[in-house]
Amino acid sequence: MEPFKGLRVVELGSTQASAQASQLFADFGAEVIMVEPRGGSPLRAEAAFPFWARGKKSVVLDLESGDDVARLQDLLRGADLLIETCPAGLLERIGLGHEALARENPGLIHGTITGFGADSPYAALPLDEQVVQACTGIFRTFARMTPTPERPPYVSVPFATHSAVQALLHGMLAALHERTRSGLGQHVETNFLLAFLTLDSWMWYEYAITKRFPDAMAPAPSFDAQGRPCHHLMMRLLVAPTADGHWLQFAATAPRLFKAKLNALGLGWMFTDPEWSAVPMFDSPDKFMNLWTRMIEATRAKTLAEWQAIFDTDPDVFAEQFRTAADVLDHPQLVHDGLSIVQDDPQFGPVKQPGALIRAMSTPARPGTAPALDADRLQLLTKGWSLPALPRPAPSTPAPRGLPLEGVTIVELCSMFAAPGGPALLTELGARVIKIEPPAGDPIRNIASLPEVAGIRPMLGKESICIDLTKPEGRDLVRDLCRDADVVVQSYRAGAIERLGLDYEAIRAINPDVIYLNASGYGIDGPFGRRPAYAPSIGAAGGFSMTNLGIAELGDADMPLAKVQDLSRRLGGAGTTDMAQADGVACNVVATAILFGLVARDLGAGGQDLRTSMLNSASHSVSGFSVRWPGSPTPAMVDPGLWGTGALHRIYQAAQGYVFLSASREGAWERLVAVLGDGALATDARFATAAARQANDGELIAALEQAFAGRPAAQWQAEGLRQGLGLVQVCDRPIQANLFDTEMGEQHHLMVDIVHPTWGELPRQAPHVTLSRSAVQTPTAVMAGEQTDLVLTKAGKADEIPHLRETGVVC
Amino acid sequence: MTPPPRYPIPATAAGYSPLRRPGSIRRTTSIDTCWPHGREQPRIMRGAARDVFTGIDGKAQVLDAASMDLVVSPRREILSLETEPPLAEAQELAGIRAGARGGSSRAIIARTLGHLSGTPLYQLLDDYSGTSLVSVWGWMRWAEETGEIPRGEMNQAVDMTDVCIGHAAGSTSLLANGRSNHAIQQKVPVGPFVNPADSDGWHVMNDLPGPSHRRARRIDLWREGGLVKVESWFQDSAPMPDGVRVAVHEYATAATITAEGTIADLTAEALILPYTECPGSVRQVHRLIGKQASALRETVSIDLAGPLGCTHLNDVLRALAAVPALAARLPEAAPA
Repeated sequence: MEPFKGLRVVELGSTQASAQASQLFADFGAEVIMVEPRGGSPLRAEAAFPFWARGKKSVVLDLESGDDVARLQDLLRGADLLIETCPAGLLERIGLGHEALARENPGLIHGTITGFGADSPYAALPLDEQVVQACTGIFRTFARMTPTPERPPYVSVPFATHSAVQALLHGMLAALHERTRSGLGQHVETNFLLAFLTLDSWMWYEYAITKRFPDAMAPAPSFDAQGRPCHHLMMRLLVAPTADGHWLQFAATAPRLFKAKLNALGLGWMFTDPEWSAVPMFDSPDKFMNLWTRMIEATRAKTLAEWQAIFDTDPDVFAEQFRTAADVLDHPQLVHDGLSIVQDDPQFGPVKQPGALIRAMSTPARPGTAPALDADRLQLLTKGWSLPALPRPAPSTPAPRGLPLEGVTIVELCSMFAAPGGPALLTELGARVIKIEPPAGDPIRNIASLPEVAGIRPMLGKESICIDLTKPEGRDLVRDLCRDADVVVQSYRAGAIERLGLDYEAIRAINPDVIYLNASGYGIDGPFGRRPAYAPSIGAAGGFSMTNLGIAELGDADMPLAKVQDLSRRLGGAGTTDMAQADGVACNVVATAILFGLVARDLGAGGQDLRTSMLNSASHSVSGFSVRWPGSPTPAMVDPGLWGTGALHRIYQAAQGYVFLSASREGAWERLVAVLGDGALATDARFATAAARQANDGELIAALEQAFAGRPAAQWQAEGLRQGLGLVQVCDRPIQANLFDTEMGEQHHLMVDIVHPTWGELPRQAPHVTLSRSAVQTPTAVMAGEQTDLVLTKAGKADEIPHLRETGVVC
Repeated sequence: MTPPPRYPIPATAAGYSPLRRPGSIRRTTSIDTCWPHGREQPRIMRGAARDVFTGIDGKAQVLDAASMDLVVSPRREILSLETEPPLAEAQELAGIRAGARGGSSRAIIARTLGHLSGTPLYQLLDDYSGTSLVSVWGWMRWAEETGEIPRGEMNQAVDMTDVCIGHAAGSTSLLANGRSNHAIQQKVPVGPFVNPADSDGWHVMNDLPGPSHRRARRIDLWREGGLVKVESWFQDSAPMPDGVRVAVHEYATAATITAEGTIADLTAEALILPYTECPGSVRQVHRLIGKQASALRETVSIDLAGPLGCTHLNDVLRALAAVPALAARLPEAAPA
């Protein structure tokens, strides 16, 4: 069955964000109408269009025309979902603000993505990934990927778009789930800045804690000004080329994995050598530099084939290859899982593209093809929606104000961040998450420089119970907890969960309608199913590093050591930062998949086996660079200096600081000319039309470099805001510092105070999505086993607690 | 666990049965129940069933027919049983009890009368269990009117939680103690379903006196493009003292069965149901697609068990197990 069959979705906004959010519904059977402006969506010019628009219908409606607004209103009267990224105030101006829509269709769930939130001082800026990245400090956060000296680079991977799409899906799917009980819709809102914070693994909390306890410990930078590594993580996350010029990303964060890696590098003797036995926990950059150099040379001593032979013999040694986004779709694991597909599109021919975001084993996605412009005008404007409306219960009175996921129970058998981050997001919406931890606690708790700091994000709002799964009684206990759960999530490597007897078939036997999510790194089988997956390896394999560096080739292996080390530093920094990396990208999709399962079950699909992977989540996020078809346009890549993709989407040096300019969209050129106050530019024939500007891009860059150098960045930004032009000051602080140390954090309501069990009062991130009627919440993090007794008591096992504790089954 | 989804409560009866289709077989069955001596005394359950083939000329040809008269104790035990055609095993069935744990009437009937599976008589006996459960609702219609019991209350000390999808944990249909919330139960006045334009459309039914209940079902099947198409309909109803008949359950289903007896397609429509959670049942029937029709009596009770399904829709679907046997009696080629 198609779980979303009969669901009616209107997509409005013609942005990658609106397109990717509605794609999930189209892939699973909903009728999705893409409303396009006259002349068609600007996305039609992109290689990824056939992917973003697949399975949808198209109708052109001019929102400046009263007749077309009335037609849109007709469609919305019968719609279930509206997904929009319209400029601030547009819908209200044409009489289609949320309240007006809800009056005519009380069941409508209206989802909005903005850049900064409706009441932000930046609200008038066009919705643009890099505008948000530039002025919030995300560019600066990725400074390590620039050539030295470090400066804020243009960041190509749309981290904010991806997280905002998922955040909106979380809110809208939760609202749909709630609507099946209340009969009522509501307005769901998120924004790029707010949603970007869901990608943070621990930098937010590390910053907050070191700010509050300045003497506790100053977190070491990854590299010092001379380019020397300063942190043991850089040793674990080694980047180096093989003898035949393939670049590898190791991700040996766990001690067991690091030991195996050092042995494989022929450096195992260090563990017993008095001078080196602390490896890799050193305190001098020189010592790190020495070890780093030895590891790079040892990697360079073997070919890729020789390394692969080692990976095949020792499952604890593994490194990923750096890929371009286009090559991601050739990754053997995605091919094995059917997540790299070729769709024969009547307009575009064979389109190579990612498969579904979520593999639903009982209700597989059926990706369609993209509609021709206005293809469905006749049907939509004469007959309307093609299937009868889904039944909704009579609206509840009074309208419920509770949490939308109240009553939903999730049992989590996961560690680290990529999977647990997902259920943590859902606690904001009211889900009860029972986190099963090993007696020593989830290893992420102590992976950062300060205890518990890295564990805050993934532990928010959960109930933690420590259970020894090596004991049969422990496994029985988990089965008991799973019996009454709506959802079970697991993230073990292939084969492990079956050995524990906690796999889908085992749980389904006792809970036939369970939603069981395998949230793995690569997959639960296939060529990479047994490989360890960490953010840096998926960042390399998923195309983050090479997309951000804008390069297709990494150069020969015999380049001088200094050059290898420079590229190693930059490649590592381009794919993964604490604030944004493949873990955060994946955990957002984990939350989406859980809610997909719940809504599909509401709609009759029953419980099922669902699968997400870090690799596939990454692949979806870089789809703008990976989708290909015969004659497809080449995606605009950033220049080698990491300034931008062209004159009108680029960083410029100002008299003081840098500005970022986004002026490639219709109407932006005129605003730019007004802001610059440069009459000569306006009349210059080389820049008279969009085509001419594109043809003379280099000359335009030169002209704009000269113009922007004339005034400080702050002045340019003020002028840009006045004109609604995408022109902002590039923030010279990393995002966490910007949010904590300037007014930006408060201004955007990003912080909510919580009391952490060990660190006391701390600000946490605000809920990543808000609902107009249903409540959201911001619970604090929990310690390992903090709710062991509570969970057992709620499960009716209070009498067994002493026995379970005495025998070490729980703690 | 999260509470179940809710839906608009359906309240539209199908009305008259459609005219018989040329080249089709129609099975109709009914069980009428009444309490001549009050609810605490044995009830009478009177069943009738008939299979009719309709030729290309529209003429009806009776293929098979059956009837039964049961006397059933308040605990739902069969006290006596008379059938037509007579059953050699009748004595073995006396004393069996519907809903009994470990020895339910359905299991015993399946064991004892398996060779009759597919016949109208088997259908009547298989329906005894579900009908005896629901029929008390018919008695309540009068008892409430006469003040014998307070409105919406029945001294039924059963925790109904998770018994079915309409009573899944967290449903509005459940009181805090787990009993059905009869006060909010929907009942819909219905007209006759026998089509006056087709006097052979149904077997003859006679209304019983006083508080009573009727379970009626119809199954139409015919060949189409190498497949067997099936439409069925089902209703639980009871007369009110003022003569108006009200229904509590009414379903229609449509199925396609392959030549090999596999369910290729199956949909159900909720026409009348008592609670806002109940219509969720029709969204679950796709779970049976791909299974063997003849095995439906077994698969329904597994695939749509407890809160995954509706007891009454499951009764509708169980009855489709007879389709392959009935289809064998359809002429090979469909009429032009």
